[in-house]
Formats: sequence, structure tokens, C-alpha cells
Amino acid sequence: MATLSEKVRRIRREVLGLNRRNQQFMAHLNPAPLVALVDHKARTKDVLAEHGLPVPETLGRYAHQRDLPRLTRNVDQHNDFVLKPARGAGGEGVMVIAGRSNDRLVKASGASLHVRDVVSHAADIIAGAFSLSQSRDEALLERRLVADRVLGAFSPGGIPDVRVVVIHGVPIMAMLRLPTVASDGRANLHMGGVGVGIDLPTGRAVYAVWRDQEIALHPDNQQPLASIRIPFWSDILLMASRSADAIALGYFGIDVVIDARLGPAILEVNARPGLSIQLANHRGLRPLLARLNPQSAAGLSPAARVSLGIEIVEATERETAP
Amino acid sequence: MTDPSLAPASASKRSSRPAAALKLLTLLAALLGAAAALAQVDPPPTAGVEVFTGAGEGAAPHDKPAKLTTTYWRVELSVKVPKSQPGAHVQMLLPLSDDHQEIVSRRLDADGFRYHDELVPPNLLGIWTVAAADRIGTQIDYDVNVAIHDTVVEIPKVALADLKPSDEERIFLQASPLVQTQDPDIRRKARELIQDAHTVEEAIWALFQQTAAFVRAVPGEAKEDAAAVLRKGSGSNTGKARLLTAMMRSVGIPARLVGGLKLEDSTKKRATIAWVEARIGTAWVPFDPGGGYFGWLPTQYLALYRQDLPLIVHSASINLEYDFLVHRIRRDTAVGAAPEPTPAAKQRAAAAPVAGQLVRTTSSYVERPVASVVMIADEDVSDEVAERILAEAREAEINVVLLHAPFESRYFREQYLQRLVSNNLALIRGAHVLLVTTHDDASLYALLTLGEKEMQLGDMRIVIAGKYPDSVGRVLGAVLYRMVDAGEVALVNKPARLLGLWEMVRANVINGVPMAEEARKWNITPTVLDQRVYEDLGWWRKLVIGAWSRAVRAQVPLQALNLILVLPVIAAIIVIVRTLIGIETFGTFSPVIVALAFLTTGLQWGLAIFAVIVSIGAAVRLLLQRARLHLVARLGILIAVVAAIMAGLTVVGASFGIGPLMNVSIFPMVIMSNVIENFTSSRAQFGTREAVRLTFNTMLLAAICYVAIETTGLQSLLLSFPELLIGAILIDVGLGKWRGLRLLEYRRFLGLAEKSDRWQR
Repeated sequence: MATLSEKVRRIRREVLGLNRRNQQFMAHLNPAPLVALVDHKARTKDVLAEHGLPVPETLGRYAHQRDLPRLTRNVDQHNDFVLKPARGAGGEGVMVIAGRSNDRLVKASGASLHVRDVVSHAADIIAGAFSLSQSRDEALLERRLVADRVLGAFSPGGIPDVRVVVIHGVPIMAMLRLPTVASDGRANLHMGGVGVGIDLPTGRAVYAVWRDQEIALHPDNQQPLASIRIPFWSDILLMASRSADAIALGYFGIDVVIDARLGPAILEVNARPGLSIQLANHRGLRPLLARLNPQSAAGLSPAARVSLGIEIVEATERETAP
Repeated sequence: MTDPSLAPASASKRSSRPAAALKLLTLLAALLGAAAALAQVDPPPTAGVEVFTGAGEGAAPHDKPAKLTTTYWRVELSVKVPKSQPGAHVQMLLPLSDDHQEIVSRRLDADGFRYHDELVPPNLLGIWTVAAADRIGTQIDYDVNVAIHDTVVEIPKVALADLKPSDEERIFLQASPLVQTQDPDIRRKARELIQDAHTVEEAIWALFQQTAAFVRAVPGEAKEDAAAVLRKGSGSNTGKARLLTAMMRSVGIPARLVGGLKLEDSTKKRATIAWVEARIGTAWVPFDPGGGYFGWLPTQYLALYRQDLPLIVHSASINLEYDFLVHRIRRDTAVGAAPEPTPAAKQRAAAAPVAGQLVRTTSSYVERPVASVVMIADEDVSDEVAERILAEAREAEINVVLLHAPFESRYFREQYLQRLVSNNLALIRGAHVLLVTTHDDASLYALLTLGEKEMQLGDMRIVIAGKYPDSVGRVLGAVLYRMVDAGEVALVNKPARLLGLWEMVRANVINGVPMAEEARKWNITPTVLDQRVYEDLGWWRKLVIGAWSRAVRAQVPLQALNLILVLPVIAAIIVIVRTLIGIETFGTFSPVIVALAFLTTGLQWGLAIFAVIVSIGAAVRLLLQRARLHLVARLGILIAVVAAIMAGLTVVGASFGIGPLMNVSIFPMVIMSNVIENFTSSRAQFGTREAVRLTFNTMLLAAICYVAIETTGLQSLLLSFPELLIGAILIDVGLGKWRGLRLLEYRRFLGLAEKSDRWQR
């Protein structure tokens, strides 16, 4: 058993803290205009789509109240969809319609509502009811993603996503975020979601935390988390690497959802990814960052950067292995 | 007096003077006799026997005195009650303080009686009720120490034609069985006498002359009526007073009778005398036709009651015997007796509440003071200490005023103290020594009001005791010293006991012992500020002192400057806590402003107000969520809600006398609204737990800042050394570069350093 001072030394050596993250990465590597871009979901999607990256299909964007008749028409064309604020945070204001029953729409939660309810929700979004900092917002109509069969088994309450942290264009650490009943269907660790550390070379689960504590079984359905292996893993790593070319942030995270029909798609880009990913992986970021030379990564292709990330991880693991 | 019928005989046996006539009437007769006079007074609960005590004591008219003197008396009223049944009662009119006389203390002693008194304006009615049957007999003792002044009342110059009694004064024009205003003889005589008079004074003089000089003074009965006195051309002291009253009233001058005692040393008295008070303008002017005092009262006249009333009313079931034992006493004996203040005196001692805080005033005045000392303390001074200070002051012939009250927050303490000082400027201006003591550095600010008022205090010595660093005391003391131009400012830079400070001042005032020397005995080491000390300060310090002096002169409160200067320091503390410890809050501004608010309300109330506002506000905000309003509209509503809560808290504070609540509007509304909005949004993003945690952290951080500032006297330090702000900026710069882990991150990531490793490789 390590003494407390040994533990403290190890934490200091390995863990990336908020102070260092803010100064060394966010302040230096993330220019403000790009941060503002990724805070706007619709524009981010546009940029990613331009670079050929898969994103959930946009069915419509509504920036003004006068656009709402168009929303009514668009809603009629689809059986399931998601209506969300372009600049919302934490999943607030997201309305998920899973299907139809007669002329009524049925929400993922089972409640049924009328088309005019959807329109009035969009009006609220535009008026800024869910916008936390800005007063006006844009409503976004998206195709609904359905959880892939493999991962869906681990998240009865919502859609899981894979967070990949990309630094200097190199995917360096990843975790799977599983919604729980406690997190109210949202894959947010603060809200009570499960964070599953993913081995970067293989896409296998290596560790998991729930409320900052290690767990082995999903808290809702007792599925063994260690058996998880992320499908489309190499695709996801490549997507992460390529999105750094689309949006030139030096330090960011992408949230990838694996849709049952479409495969992986980038749901969101986050310019301030949290540090809990280290807990989920049971590894600090600093030993990895020490091996990551920005100059050597600069000229590489996306695929080469994925390889570089995997090399760095493997080299670090070899060194720390007993 | 065991039997009513024996009363006159026993009374006349006692004295060689004109016999004191006592007559006891039945209830019916009393009601008839005193109907008019009682118009203002509630009828006695179960009136039985009334004892009229007025008789005569004649004298020639006296000139107004050239020199006004004050004499001190002890008047002991004892009422012997031989046998009594439970429920029987004795009511007696008791002397009150007024411009003429001051009841310094009173002592009550009556075994087997319940006592209470009722203020029946303008009289004080003492009521003794028999508590238990008593066959042996007992005694009621009511002793007062009284200071009586020669009192000359300036007679307002009012033309007789202009005397228009107000509606309230009209009852002093009414007739009564003994004061027959409507009697044709009295009316005719009065008119005849005043026919040449133009002013009220001339008219009264004519009437007074008639009653004082042309009515022979004879021993008479207590119930001698006005018409009889006029008819006979002779009357007792009280009879003359009734006649004068009747004549005054008949010509439209409001007048009333006053019953009292003429005091003589070492005598036993039972006869009262009576004189007249006329209402002229807003003054009651005394006229005593029996004693010959026109417009003034001599020092040996003790007024017992006003109106034509019986002195004593008692149940028919008991017999009683009473007398007044009169002693002339020395001033210090009068004042030194353990005082149990009369109702009137008590009001003066309790003093007025200042913004919800009760300020107690204790004072002692002597006739010819060698010095006067004003002491202001921010704590509750025990009666014991106050007594001792007052006793020592009297002994040393020092006038002393002690103002003290406990205060909640430092900010208020400063405000209260300053208000206390402003309210007592006259007192302070006349003081030789001014002493302010607080348990923190508020004392340094209390007297700045004097500078604001541009008062020059010449050779006054000022003692400022409190907890502050010596260097701070020097600078802020110098601000005061420069502004009020005091003789000497002594700084005692640790909280000292009031008694020790007083002894230091007393020794200095009485024996000229240097304060420092006496202070050492009390383990106090004062720093004395004078011109030389000021000159020794550096140019920068002088510049600061000059700047703050200018600010105070311009009525900028230094508390405001304090709050401004302390703001960057609070911000620096928050930078430290956030980057080194890692307590997350709602932004940086919220805890800063909330901490400022705490500084004005005090910690406990600040936390309570914060919790109340945020919880009610968040509840309202959650309801608003359904309304789906615009952010700006939401904030507007929240500000309204917060404002309503604050107004409510202010009213609660006012109702219960809670000072910090009454000043709750200082609590920054907008920031509170913002905290509520932050709470709601983080609740949406991260859940209720997280939102509560962040709110709690914001509160905690504000409290940490509060404690850091309050316990270190940081505000005064910054005011004295504003250059310290550069230090705050350096801290900000240094921590802005700090990349190390936050303290709480070690705890959070502790699991990562545990031996157990990943599940697989």
C-alpha cells in the first residue's frame, strides 16, 4: 500500500489539473473565435460536414419565429427526430420524438404530444428560453440517433457517447459515457453518468467510474462493464483526428454517438473537455503529454496522428507497467 | 389616625403651626366634591376614603431670587396601616420630576402590600394593595431623594385679549364645587380687579395681589372653597389658591391647583400646601398667593400633584396614619443613594434606540464639575462597572456620560458610533476628555464625524481604544488629530477594559498624572499622538492622511472607501482559494460581492439573508421555468423577487428591532439575482447536487473572505497603507501563472494513485 505522500507525488506527476489545463492548453491552443464556433452546434456541424465528417443529419434550422411554418412542414415529413437549441448546454431543452401514434407524436419518454407543441417548443428555443448566456438562439431539427445494439445494451436510459480527447491533433485518451437513471438519460458524469475508460489501441473498456468511484457493473442493469468493446473503434479514432483538421483547436474533445443505422457520428465538439476522463481511465494525462511533441505531430496525416497517439499510449503503458 | 372623627384633633395637637385640617369624606361626598377636578383622571378603582391635606401656611410676597440655588432633600412618607384585609388598598399621589424638581432616587418598602404605580398625567399614582390579612399592623414607606431648584418661569408676554385657550385647555376653565368660577361675586370681583390690565401678567398680578395681600391668612380647613374665602376675606393657603384659581378661570385664564409640601429640615409634616399654575402660551407659570411667590417657586417647594385632588384615597375598611419626614441632605448623599429610578427618570436613562439597537446612557452630573468626560463603548457595560465609574466621578466632581450599546456587525458599529457621536455633539463639545472604546478598530472611525462637522476641539484629550496595529492607529489617529485639532490623541491599541481606561482618564484629569503612567497600572500602554509624531511620518503617509481628511471633510464616509479598497483584496483571496484550493463557485464576482455584503450585515445575518434569498429566489425561478421567458425578462423578475424579499426582511427587522435586517438593502440585489440564475442554470446542466454545492461554495468563500478581513483588521490596514493593493495585484499575477494541482484535485484523483489498477491490458 502506497503511503499518502507517494500517492500525492504520483498524482502531481501524472494528473493534469484545471490550472495547467486552462493555461497551458485552453489559453494557448484554443483561439476564442474557434471556441465560439464549437459552442454553436449547428455551425460546428456545418464545418465538420464540409470536411466529410459524419454528423447527425440536419433536417432544418430555425433562427426566427417566421421560420416556424417551415418547421411544421418538416416535422410532418419525419417519424422520429430531435429538436434542440443550437447553443444549449447540458442537454437542456432537447426534445426527442421517437415515433407517431395516430396524429400525435410520441416522445422517447413515452409521452405523446401534438405538432403544435413541438412548434411552441421551437419558439421557446428561439426566444432563448434554454440559452444560458445568450438571449437569442436557434432551433435545430436533427435526425434522431438510435443507440447501436452493442452499446445500447449498457444504457437503458439514453444514448451513450464516446468522448475522445484530441491534443495537437492527436487522439490521446478516450472514454465511453453511459447515461443512467440517475443522470436522467444524459451522458454527463456530473449528472451521474458512468465513465468507462477505453484502451486507445484496442477500444476495450479498461476501467469505469461512477460518481468518481470505481465500479465494475452498470448501476442500472448490472451489466459487466469490462466486457465492453467499442464498435467502429478505428473509425472513431480517425474521425477524432480528422476533426482537428476541420476545427483547428489544439485541445478539444469530440463526442461520438454510434447510430444503429448510420454508424458513428460526431454529436458535439467540446473546447473545454473535463478532466474526469483521467479518473475513468485510471491514468493521468501528463505522462502522455510529455511524449507528445507538437512539432512532430504537425506535419502528419490524420491516420498517422492516430498511430502516434496509439504509440504514445503503448509506450507510456510499457513504462508504467510493473 | 385610627378613627376619622379624631383626625382634626390629633392633627392640631401635633403642630403649633396653623393646624393641618383633615377631613374625611364619604364616597358620595368625594364624587361630588372632586367631580370637576377628576374630569381628567380616571376614578379610583374602588375609591373609599379620601384624605384632603391642604391647609394654610401664610407668608408675605417674595422678590424673585437673584441667585438660583438647588437644595437636596430626603422626604420619607410613611403610612401606618394598623389592620388590613386582603384587597384593601391605599392610593397616594407621588412626586414626579419636572423642571423644578428632580427625583434622584426612590425607595419602596411595604411588607404585605403589592405595589404598582400608574402614570395618570400629569400625576403619578402609587397604589398599594393588601396582599394578606394582617392583624398586627404594618407600614408603607415611600422615600425619595430629591433635588429642587429655585425655579423662575418667564411669564410670556401675551395681551389679555389674545389669550385664547385651546380646546384641551378649556377644562382648566371649568367650575367645581370648591372653585366656583361661576359664582357672581367671584366673577364681579375678578372683572373689577383686571379692568386696567392689558397683558395676562398684569391681570394675574391684580388677582394675585388681591388673594395674597388682602385675604388674611388664617388656619383653615382643607376643603375651604373659593367663594367662602372671598366672602370672609380670610383663608388658608389652599383656600387662597382656590380663590385665585377661580378668579383666573372666571376671566378666561386657564389655571390649576398644585398640591405640595413646603420642606423644612428635620420636620415631620402632614399638611400640604397648594399653589396655582396658570397656562400662559405653552408655559405653566406658578403663582403662590399663600406663600407670596409670583412667577417663581422657591427651592423648598416640593410639588406632589396637580389638580384639586385628595392626596390619599384608601379603602374604607382600613384606617391609616401618615406623615412626611423631611431632611435636608447633602448633594452627594442624595445622588449616592442606590437609585431606583422613578418612571420619568428611567426614560431618560434608557435613551433612544439607534436603528434598532438600544443605546444605554448612564450619566452623573455634579454642581461644579472640575472636568467632564464622555465615554462611548460598543459593548454592554455591566451595571457594576457603570456604578463604580459614576460613583468615582461624583467623588472627584467630574461630570461623566457613558454611552454604550452592543452591535452586530463592524460596519454598523461604525455607523452607530458615528450616529451616537453626532447625536451627542453638544455633550462632546463640552467634554475635557473623550474616550471611545471598541473591541475592534471601529473606534478609530467613530470620531471622524467630528471632523466632518469641522469641529475644532482645542485642548480636548481623546482616547481611542480598540484592536488595531500600532501603525494603523498612527495613520487613522493622525487623520482625526489633524481634522479636529485635538489637544492630544491617545491610542490604546488593544481592547482594554473600560474600567482601566476610566481610571487612566480620571487620574489624568484629577491629579494631572500622565495617562501613560496610570495606564501602566492597568496593563495598558497608550501611544500619544501629537504634532511631533505627525511630523515624523513620511511624505507618502502624510499624503494619504491628507487625502482621507479631505474625503471626510467632504462627507465621504470612510466605510465606503474601506469597502472599495478591500474589494481587490477579496478578489485576490478568491483567486487564492480557487486556484490553490480549488473551491468552485459561481464565477469570481459573486463571492466578492457577497463577501462585501457580509461585511455590512455581519456574518450570521449575512448567511441567513443569503440562504433565504437564494432559496426563495430559486423556488420562484423554477416556477418561472415553465413560463419559458427570455433571459433578460427572467432576471428582471428575479430582481423584483429579490427586492420584495429584501423589503420584507427590512420590515421584519424593523418589527423585531434587528439592525442588520433593517439595512438589508445594502445586500447587492443584482448579484443575488445572478446567483439565483446561476443556481438554476447549473442545476439544469449539472443537477441539483452540483448546483447546491456551488451555491454553498459561493457562500463559504464569501464567509472565508469575511473572516479573513474582519479578524485581521484588513480594512483599516488598507486605508492606512493603500500601497498594499500592489501586493494583491502581485498575488493575482503569481497565481495566474500557477499551474500546479489544486488541493481538492488531489482528493478527487486520489483513486488514481491507489494500487488497484485497470481491469485488463
